[in-house]
Amino acid sequence: MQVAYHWLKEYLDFSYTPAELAEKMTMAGLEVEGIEYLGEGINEIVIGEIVKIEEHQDADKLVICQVKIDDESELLQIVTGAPNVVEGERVPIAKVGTTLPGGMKIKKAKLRGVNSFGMMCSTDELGLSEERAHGIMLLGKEAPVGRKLTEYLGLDEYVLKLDLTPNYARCLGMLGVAREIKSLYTGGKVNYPEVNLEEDKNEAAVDEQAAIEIKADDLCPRYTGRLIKNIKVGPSPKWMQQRLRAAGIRPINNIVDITNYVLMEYNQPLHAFDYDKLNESKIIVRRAVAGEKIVTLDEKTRELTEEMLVIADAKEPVAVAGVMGGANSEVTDDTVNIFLESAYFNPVSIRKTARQLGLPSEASHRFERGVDIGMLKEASDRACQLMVKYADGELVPGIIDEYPGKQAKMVIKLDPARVNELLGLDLSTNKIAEMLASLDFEINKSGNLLEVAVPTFRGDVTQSADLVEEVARVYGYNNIPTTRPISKQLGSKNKKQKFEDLVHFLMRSAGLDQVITYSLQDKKIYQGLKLSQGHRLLEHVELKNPLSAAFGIMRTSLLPGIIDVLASNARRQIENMHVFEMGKIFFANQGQRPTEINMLSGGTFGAGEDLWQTDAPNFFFLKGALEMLFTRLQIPDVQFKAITDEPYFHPGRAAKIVYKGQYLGQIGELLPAIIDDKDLQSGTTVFELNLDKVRKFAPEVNYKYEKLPHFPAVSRDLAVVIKNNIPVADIFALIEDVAGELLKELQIFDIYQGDQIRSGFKSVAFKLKFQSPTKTLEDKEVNKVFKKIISQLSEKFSAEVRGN
Amino acid sequence: MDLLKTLENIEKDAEQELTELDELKELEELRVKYLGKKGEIQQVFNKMGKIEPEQRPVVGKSANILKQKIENLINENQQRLEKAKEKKRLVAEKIDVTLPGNKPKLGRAHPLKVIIDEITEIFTGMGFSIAEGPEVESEYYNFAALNIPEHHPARDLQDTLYLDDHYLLRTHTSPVQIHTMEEQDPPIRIIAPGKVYRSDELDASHSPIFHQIEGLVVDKDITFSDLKGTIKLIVEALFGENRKIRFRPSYFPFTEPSAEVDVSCIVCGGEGCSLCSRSGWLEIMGSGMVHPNVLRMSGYDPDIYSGFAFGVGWDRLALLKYGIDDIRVLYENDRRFLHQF
Ligand SMILES: [Zn+2]
Repeated sequence: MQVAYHWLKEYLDFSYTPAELAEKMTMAGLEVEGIEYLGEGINEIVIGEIVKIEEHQDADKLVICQVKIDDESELLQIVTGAPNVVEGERVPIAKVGTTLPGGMKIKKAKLRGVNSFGMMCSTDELGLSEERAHGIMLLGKEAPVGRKLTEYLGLDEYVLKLDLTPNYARCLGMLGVAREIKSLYTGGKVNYPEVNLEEDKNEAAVDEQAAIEIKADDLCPRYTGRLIKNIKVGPSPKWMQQRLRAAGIRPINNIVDITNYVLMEYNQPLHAFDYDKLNESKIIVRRAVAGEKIVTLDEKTRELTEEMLVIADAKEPVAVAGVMGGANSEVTDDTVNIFLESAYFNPVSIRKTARQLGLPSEASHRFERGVDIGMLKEASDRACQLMVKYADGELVPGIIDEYPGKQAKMVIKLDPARVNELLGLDLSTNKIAEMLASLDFEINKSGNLLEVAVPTFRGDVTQSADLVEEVARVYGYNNIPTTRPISKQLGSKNKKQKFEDLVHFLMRSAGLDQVITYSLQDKKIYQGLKLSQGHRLLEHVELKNPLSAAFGIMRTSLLPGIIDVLASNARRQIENMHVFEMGKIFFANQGQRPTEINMLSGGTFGAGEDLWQTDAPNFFFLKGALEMLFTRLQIPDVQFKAITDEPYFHPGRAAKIVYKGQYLGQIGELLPAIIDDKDLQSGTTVFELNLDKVRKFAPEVNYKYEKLPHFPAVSRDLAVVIKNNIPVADIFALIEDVAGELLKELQIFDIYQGDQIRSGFKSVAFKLKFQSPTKTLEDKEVNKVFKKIISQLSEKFSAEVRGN
Repeated sequence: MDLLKTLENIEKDAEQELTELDELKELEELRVKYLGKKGEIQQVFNKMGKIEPEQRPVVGKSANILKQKIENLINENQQRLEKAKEKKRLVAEKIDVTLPGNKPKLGRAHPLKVIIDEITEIFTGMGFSIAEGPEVESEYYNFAALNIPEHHPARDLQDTLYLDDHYLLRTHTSPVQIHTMEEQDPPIRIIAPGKVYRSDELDASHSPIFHQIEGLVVDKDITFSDLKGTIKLIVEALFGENRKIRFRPSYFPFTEPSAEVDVSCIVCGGEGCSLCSRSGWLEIMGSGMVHPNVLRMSGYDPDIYSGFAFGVGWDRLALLKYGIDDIRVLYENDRRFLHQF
């Protein structure tokens, strides 16, 4: 909706500047997105008359014009190369000192020896057309010399661009806007257009010449028709065209322009039929028959459904009600007689039909939001008045007004005490009544309650809460005091949220930065993971109406996002990066609600220390972070078991993460081929954990004090040579098992493969710390345990003790 | 033989030698030289038999005094030398304190997390809990239960991404209001942060995936002025107490009255600039009193209970608070960006 400032002033007395008006409207709930001055940059242009044209002695293409710009001043001499100048024409003149919209400042100039004191302008130079114009803008011989061009063209106008929410349907017309400002700010009266209809007494009454039958009064509670004869189709008056342009509507001809003008005034869409094309001069408002077809004004054949409302004549549909007219009843240059429709259609029906046919329009936009059923006749009258005046029409006496859906005004019972309770105010009943009355509600007192009758233009008001908002609006939102609700509860996070915060904290403590990536992804991103057919990550939920393929599916893993983050940073010469993300992944669930799983995922490249000299610093950096995580979450004994079958992991450098036999997640170095594809740093490693599962195993963090040992500890080192393929974790498990409770600490401090060890074997060195809570351990006790460990290692793993 | 003279010479020599001493190990040699079993003092005692008996007590006393004195001197100088030695060591151990420290490599929280932690703290302090809901929603929770009927123009306010005929990606965090009211009895005080989805093309100010924070308070006697007070507090906490706030009528199907909340522009302070489209104000959240239809549908009697709700663009808060001019930066996760927070 665009509101032209001066046009609005015609309906209401106010003294606000355009900016003040915009502020008032915004604060009333009619949000003004912007103000445009139509004459921007051309306010200094005046209309001049070309009095005399002479040839330029030294230039074929130039002529010397003498231009009159008012009665007093001397003629201006202007040299131009424009081909279309004619003596007597009136043209826009930029005098010396004027700046054109393009930024050009007009100066006194000498063209091939002849002085020129200004410029005659073309439409594009004035910013009035986008394309380059051939020649000067000719204004015609009636244009008033000396007047400002903006005034003459109706461009001395400010247009307020409104972004109206659906509840402000009443403000989709100028009169509605005027009424709103009257009610909230100025008081006084809205000046409705004066309509005095001159009916042609020689004509038979309209109901003798046409008939309206409503067969679907649920979808059309009121339909009015009038007949205007002998109209002459031609251009509409200039002022009307200017106003329509200001409202953002392109002028077409007087009939169309008048219906659009009344649309903009009254917020009532009108439709003009060619009366002579209506079979049997009949209008039937009915549901379409399934499969029925109509060719609409845009010359497209539309197939209709039984849900759609049509306007038909005795034979066939002539319009899709409230959406678009039919070609068969279209008003053309040859049209003589007009049947004018002014009706109310059910908003839901219009909305469905407009959507199904893909035909949104100014009319359907308004019908969808509800027009004022009480104003149909007034709007029709106004249009008839204008058609008589500007299309030379002869108005057939009377109006056909079928109103089967007529209802008494809705009355809402309002408890003033509740109004005050809800707003935090203390207004008297009278004050509330007065406020609502200013908005044209009719008020009756009934005991402690107010009975509020809702005017027909307030379709948005259906219950007392709506009236509470009206009271608040009149009182002013910003005048309502500020208080805070008293809390009887203690606020806090729940266990899940605290758990997630802890995980977050631990990940950051481990040196990982939090990232947030898109949860909608491109399907193609999963191809990059070299997944085999049927891989679980391909069980995507696809969007039905995606914006683009880039956001076409819901992620089934956080890993593609993590890999992208690492890759884009690596490309920016970032040398090391450690990241994690917490977020949901989604799996299709056979048409049921997709499964949402909370995941923790992360990745790293450029981790420094190569702990075990295995050229896998990233793997052990991430693994260490996860081990720390599990320790702090008090989930002991989480196992990392080698896997070789995840297509995107290096088959020798990947593990699944298992607790009590349950899969929690996985960690692995990316497959070198993926690292190459993505320009990642070699060794880039990622992990993922099912956070919902991890949480299930994490006890509520609870600390218990364990008495500190009083007795000294005994340390022993143990180096064994074992086969390369024996996981260190197995040795750990055996030592712990054999050593029992006396073993307080078990660490691995060296792994060696090389000259002194035969190939296929490795030397692993452990530090064992024994301690008893009850006594000082004697060497022989420790030795006994130590010997047992060695013999078991040798038995189970053929381990040889080194250097013993 | 003048032993007293000898003692005088010993005293003079000892004083000189000890004070001139600069190495701790030489101190031991001097101790032996003067006080040892064959030391000079002892030699005086050894010669006592050869002098006049009446002089013996005098010499003996003097020799003892001198012995004591030398012992003291030795101790004093020992301390002096030890101090000097320690000092020398400390000087030698001097480090360049301007060399950089060994910084622990702590990870950073994403700016959205920084903001939500701040907000959560404020709200839990006011007795709020944190609620959550699914990102995939049904029509009912995303629309119908929020008083947005199927064929209402209000559906146009948000472009919805659908999965199929039943499920869609929530377009706002408001469905959490409904879940909470269904699961809980009043009083209710929650905030619900989360991801939301719209069919918006990605550009500097739009993202198809972004974040919102929902707020809901339902109890007896909750007023519009409570809504204003609560929002004022959070805005001041986030943007400072000098921020001006205004409430203006707006429309959300699930609140009535509805209010849009603006704060005075953080760049120009109200003068008008490009950030605020010259208006001097920045729109930061939608709010309102919970619509009676919504209360009713969730099983609450709107004549007894009332409530307010609000919804904030979480990303937008971060953009405004940190002066980020492009929402896409939040999701690019450039390390240099992340390390600014
Ligand atoms: Zn600003």
